[in-house]
Amino acid sequence: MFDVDLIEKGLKPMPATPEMIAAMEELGPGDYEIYSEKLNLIVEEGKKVMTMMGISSMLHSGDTMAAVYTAEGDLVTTACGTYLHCVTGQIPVKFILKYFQDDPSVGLREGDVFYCNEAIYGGIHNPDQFAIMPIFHEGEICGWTVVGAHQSETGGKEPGGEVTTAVTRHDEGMKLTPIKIGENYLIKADLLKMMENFISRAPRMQVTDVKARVAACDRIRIRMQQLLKSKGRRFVTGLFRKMIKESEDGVRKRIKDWNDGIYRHVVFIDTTGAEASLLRVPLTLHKKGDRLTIDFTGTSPEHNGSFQALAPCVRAHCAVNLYQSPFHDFPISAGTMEPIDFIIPHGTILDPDPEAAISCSPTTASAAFPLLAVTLSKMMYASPQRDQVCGFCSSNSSAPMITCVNQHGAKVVDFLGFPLNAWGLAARHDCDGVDVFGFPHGPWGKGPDVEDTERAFPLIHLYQRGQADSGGYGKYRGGTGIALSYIVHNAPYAIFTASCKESKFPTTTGLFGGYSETVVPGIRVTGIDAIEQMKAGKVELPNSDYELLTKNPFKGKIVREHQTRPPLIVKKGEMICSSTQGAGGYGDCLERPAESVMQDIRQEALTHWTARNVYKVAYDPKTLKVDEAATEKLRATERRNRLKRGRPYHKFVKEWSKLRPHPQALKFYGTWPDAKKNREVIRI
Amino acid sequence: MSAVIDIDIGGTFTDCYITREREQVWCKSRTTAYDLSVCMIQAIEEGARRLNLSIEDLLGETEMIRYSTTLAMNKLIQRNGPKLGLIATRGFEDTIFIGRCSQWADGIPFKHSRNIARVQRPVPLIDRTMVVGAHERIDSNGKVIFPLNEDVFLEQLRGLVDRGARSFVVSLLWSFRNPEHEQRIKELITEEYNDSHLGNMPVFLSSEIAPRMYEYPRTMMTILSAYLHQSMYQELIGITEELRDREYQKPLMMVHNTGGMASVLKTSAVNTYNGGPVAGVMGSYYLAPHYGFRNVISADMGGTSFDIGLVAEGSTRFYQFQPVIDRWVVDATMIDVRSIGAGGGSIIRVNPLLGNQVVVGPESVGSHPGPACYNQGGLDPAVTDADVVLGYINPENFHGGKLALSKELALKAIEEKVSKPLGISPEEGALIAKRVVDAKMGNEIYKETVLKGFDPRDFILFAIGGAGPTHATGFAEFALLDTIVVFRFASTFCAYGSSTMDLVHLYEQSLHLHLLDVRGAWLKEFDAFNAIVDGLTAKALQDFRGEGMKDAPIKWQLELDMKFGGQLNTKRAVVPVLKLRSEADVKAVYKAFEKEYSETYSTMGLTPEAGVEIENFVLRATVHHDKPELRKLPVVGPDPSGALSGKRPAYWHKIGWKETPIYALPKLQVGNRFNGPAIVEAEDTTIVVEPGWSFEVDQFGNNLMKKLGA
Repeated sequence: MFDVDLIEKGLKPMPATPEMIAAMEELGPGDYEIYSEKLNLIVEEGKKVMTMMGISSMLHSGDTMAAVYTAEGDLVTTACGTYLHCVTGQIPVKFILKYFQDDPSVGLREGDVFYCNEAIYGGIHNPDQFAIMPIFHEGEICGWTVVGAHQSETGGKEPGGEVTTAVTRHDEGMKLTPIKIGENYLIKADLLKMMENFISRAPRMQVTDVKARVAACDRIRIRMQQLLKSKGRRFVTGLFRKMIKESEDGVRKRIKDWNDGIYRHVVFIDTTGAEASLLRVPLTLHKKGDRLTIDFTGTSPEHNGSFQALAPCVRAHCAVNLYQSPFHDFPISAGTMEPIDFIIPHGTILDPDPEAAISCSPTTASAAFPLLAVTLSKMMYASPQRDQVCGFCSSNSSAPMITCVNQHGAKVVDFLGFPLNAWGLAARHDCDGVDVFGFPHGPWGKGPDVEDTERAFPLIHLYQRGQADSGGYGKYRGGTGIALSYIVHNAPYAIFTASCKESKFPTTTGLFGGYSETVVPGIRVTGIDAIEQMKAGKVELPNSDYELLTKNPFKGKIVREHQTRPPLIVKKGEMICSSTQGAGGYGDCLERPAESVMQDIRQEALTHWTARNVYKVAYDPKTLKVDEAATEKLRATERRNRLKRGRPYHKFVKEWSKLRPHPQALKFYGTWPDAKKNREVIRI
Repeated sequence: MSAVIDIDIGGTFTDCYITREREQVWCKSRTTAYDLSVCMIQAIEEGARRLNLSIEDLLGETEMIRYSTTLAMNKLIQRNGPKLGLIATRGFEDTIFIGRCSQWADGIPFKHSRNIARVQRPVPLIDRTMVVGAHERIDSNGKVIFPLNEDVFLEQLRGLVDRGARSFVVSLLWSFRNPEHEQRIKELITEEYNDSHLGNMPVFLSSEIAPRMYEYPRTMMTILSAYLHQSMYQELIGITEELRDREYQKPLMMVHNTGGMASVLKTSAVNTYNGGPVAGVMGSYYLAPHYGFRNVISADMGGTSFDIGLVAEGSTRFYQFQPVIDRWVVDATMIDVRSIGAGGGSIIRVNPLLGNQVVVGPESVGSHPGPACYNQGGLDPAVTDADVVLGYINPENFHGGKLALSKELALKAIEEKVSKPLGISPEEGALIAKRVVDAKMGNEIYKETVLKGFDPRDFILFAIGGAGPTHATGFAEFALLDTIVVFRFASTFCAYGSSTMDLVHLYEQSLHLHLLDVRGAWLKEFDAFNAIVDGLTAKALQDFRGEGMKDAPIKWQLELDMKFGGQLNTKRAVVPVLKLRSEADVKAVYKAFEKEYSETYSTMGLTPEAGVEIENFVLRATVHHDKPELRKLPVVGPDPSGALSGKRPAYWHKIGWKETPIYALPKLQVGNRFNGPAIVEAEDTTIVVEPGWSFEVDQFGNNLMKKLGA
């Protein structure tokens, strides 16, 4: 009984009542500044409690948040590793208020604890679990607190929560609509047992992390009640409203400064999760006055695979981009989203039928990251926010999930956190990007140490280091990704899965003439016991994917595959790679100073081949001394060749329009070239 | 007669506290960053003058000099350390450049790290070309799974030397479990490049500097030690020579950020980071019982930062694990002194995009140009400008009149950049800014206290540093604290703090053990546990012998970093046993952990069914040192009129302008008492007593402020 209207409108704040406005106007000088900061510290404390108590590796990666909402469920402020959850946290609160508050079989009382992970009620996907508590003061609800975090197991048909082979929602495991799991500040043991039963691949994680979420909520609840006691309900209501209003007003002012216009970009995903195919995701950004409309019309139709996302998830991904870039200096409240409208066509991969499989929704919806980054960059270039021009981080957000009985005898299912956090940041308008920058959804997260991972899981890393040539080329270079290889060690086998939307065709493009990021194939080496070979000390240790592929030092069978992986058994001594992409470059690579190219070689961020053939630099490969005159000559020749290769626009269109991708690439694309629906999707 | 001298060398001032039998004096000198021995000698000379002694006479009878400095860290910021070569495990040469990925966010305020489009990685201490990967591998059990290839290494070593390496850091994966490869590499370097070649080329092994898990902070800790080693060594040589020239023959001790001190020979540069503020916490720990409290918050408000230290239940048991030094996460354990960007130099801004929100800090005007009132060209209004506009700081008596302030410039800056945009008077604008910064500091104290599982209302506040007493009643309100002590020596409190410190050595070693496994079985490997403790004890005894203290009584304390099974973060608990001899001992260790964990987080979060794991052992060995006595003074009486130096208008919250009494601190006598609003002036600080607070000179001659009606 999900409520489409509530879900669509749930991101925007409820209209202020006269009482709220009056309460806001009664705030004294300095109250807004002082107590908004107090609220920020309260949610920060809550987030810290969650992080310190939890188990899921996603807490390291920052896929978590703690937030305070108004009595009506609007976001007031948050401490987060990712902005996704603070936005989506509003909808279950509004749902509880609308459907359960007056239902005597559920009701709403002080000490209640609610819990949910159902995406069709406004969330991202079911690995994201939320604890929710009302904040009562003198018998009335004065606000809400929500603490959410990603958890890497849901009891689906595959381990890991992101079920790449799912065909419908029924393949994806536990999906809880908002339910009351606690009363009188106590979690009900029977419901906790039920969850543990659903998540039998990793019961320890489920129980510990539910408790951590609830404890963090409760900490925020206590602090808020202390504030309510000292300042009163009316003060807090006025403060909440002021924080929302000021964000909204600030965002409107900033948008107004930008040039009106229509800005476009398009990206592609290269798999449905189960089958290779190009999927199209275009974005048209309309800017008029103080409003933005984000329009995804033209997106490929929905399919039977798992790579699709519900509309609230897409909106939340856009919010990540907006909070992270143009509005990074504003408070994180519902007010920011008020002047932003969305058009997300139903029946597409960005808003499929509710029966669709969507547990890989972040992989899919993260296509919004480069789309918004490029369109906003085009708009902000001629604005006071030019310093925000950046093609965003590589949006892949992929990492393998490991399932096994670890070397300590515990059943574990979890992300391998390092690759999740090791994507490049795109080049900026005045400087290079950042190598191995972070996790696109929450860049402040930390990749675990090698020793941390090897202690928790039965693995040996063969290498984990920067990957040359993985950052997009340009006047300013995109940040690089990493090369990473694991060997199963001290366990008979481990199972790996992964979801990745771009292993053959890059989604993150360059900006203003910069090259796109690279794509990275999945690599496995089977039929070997690498550890036994290493013990003899005879094998030459590779330290990159390139060396592993070209030299095959362990003489195993090399498997090259898409990085989206259905469950794969990797036996003791076998190897699986999970390297990451860099990000897009900026501007013409012929304008990059030759000395910067040499510096890239010294840092092992670039290969000699690329320096010579892409950047057109003439130099001594031993000393890296640049021959400036020869370089200028090479570059002048390349410019002339470009002119020769060029076509008048009408000729280019004529030739380009005749081209058509391979039929397999168009299988789930929709009609060519406009991606309209051309097949029925039957789900059982 | 015998004396002890304590010195704290800060960025601007060098503080000195001298204890000579029952007499104590304190003083300051300007820090001479170019040569620390100069300011140290100047401070001691000034102290000797106050004792009517020559410096030679004072040093001749001095038993010990202890000093803290963070200036070694300036070398880090300036990036002018020696050229180092790093030897990592092959395939992991980029570990220090990747720095757990979001290294770019380490050491900068969150506000700045939210601005993703502008972030940058820090400039590395070692160039990428100076890193090589040794062909070797050890696994998590300490087993060699790829033997060290010495031929390849020797070739790599020659390359490093050819590229200019003059010092080496060796940090290999799992070396803390098995240091065999690191040690062999050191042997090879020593054999290849002994003294007869290129002079001494020191080799730093991560398994010796920081034998603990997590390769990134362990490597950074080792790199920082190597990077700062030379400059610290030179600095110490200079100081030692200057002192010897003036008849000082006894040991020079350094304050460690672990809360103790050790001889300079047993000190690495990283141990000295934040030594001054940590000494402040130790001083608070010693003084708290004199006021009948076991819980103290020490708050030091300086020019750019606000430092918070905590003493709870009579213990300084809170640490920062893996703190950030400059921009680097290091594997060190430090007494937790939390620092936020708030101080006298914090810039006040009005943000028109957010409804004219008044924002204070974290950006600071620094000491140059300083606040507008410094008249050094600064145009941005800062907190000190607000204090001048409000009438709290006397512009003619700042730093005892050594720095004349311009009230006119303060007013102009506040008016132009704060009050005009807000459409209010300058004093109202200044008051909002003052309350905003007070709230920021007070709320931070509150958060830090409750996050450690305590109620701030059970604490007393020690306001230290130059600016702390000016804002203490302001930020105490927001932290729910109702008792404040401003010591007579508040402005040299950190130097005083080191005078109260014991000789402490801290030894750590990582070992993963299941205290309780997932099947519910308690630890039975007593030998593995006890062997670690024995190893750490042996190191401690060796070090104390080296410091000439082989017969001194040593107090031992074992602390363990533990967690419930699968958790990402550990919690440190002091455990009641040093060794395990029975299951009862094991259970006692668990109980100590459970108590610590419940108090900090919640009993709702206890999950022993997931197992309980030990990650790290910490052995604390302490040799007691005598502390300066805090003597009670005869009470003179409540009337403070003898110290009244005049009145001036000051602007107060909910009152407005009011003629406010000004007292001269040196003239106040024990027992003198009055209520706020009032201002108390001294050469080195200004105490602001806000309305609703009382002030009294207590029995120790210190200044006690209490919230009325509390």
